[in-house]
Amino acid sequence: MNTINKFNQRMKKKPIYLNQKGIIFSIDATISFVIALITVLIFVLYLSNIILSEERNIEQIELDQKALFIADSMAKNQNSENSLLGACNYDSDKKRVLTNNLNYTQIKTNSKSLELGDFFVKSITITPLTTNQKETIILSEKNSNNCTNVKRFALVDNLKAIIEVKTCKIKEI
Amino acid sequence: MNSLEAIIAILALTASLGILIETVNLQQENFQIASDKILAKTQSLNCAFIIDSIISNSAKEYKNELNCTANKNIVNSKIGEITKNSFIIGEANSGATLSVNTYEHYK
Repeated sequence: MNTINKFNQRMKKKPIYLNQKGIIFSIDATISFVIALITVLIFVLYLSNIILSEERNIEQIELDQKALFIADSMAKNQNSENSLLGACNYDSDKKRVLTNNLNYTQIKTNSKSLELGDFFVKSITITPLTTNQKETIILSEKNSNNCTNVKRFALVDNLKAIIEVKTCKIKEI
Repeated sequence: MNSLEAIIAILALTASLGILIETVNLQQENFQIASDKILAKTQSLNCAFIIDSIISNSAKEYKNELNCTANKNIVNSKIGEITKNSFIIGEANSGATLSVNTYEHYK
């Protein structure tokens, strides 16, 4: 009993310099501020994530677009400098380029890799539908783990075939 | 003592609010820049699409307006202060009119 009285007296004597309500108010304000900051941080991270994924989408679209138009140009044009951009046969009687009618020798001997900024053409693959034997013409030795393939139907030396253009991005997405 | 704590608490709250508002403003500016970058890139990509299709199809002319400038194999697009470019598979130049180097089909 004596000990309890001593304790009570000691507690009563202990001076209180700060008002308890004030301290609680300040702590509440700090906690709410921290919560608000974390919320803002999460929101900012979410926004930056959206922007980043949008940039990745655009880069992927660009890569696909390049492959698509290079394959299209190869199947529709004739280019003596680089058959990658035009490998069609030429009809000297009609004096016109035969679209969708490709020359195998031209593709094999006259195709050069094309580098467009971060993109490059890795290879062309020709698969004749009759034999189904793939032949890949490597145009660049560079390696990349971000590539895209575009397949297109065309006649290669008057045989039905699927031509496949592989474009890659130098930098990793 | 009570009023001192109240003043400190109000000051802390005001400072917190100020920091929050400043952070939001800063992020809004950053978001605007990022949005302009994406818009400029999309616009240049759009132009590259059109020019590439002109090249691959050996189109004779393109009359519609392009919101970008082409110089050799690079297409530039500008939104605000931000310029983004895209590459094209051939060559083109945009002066008064867009001129694209296409491959002749009839020789």
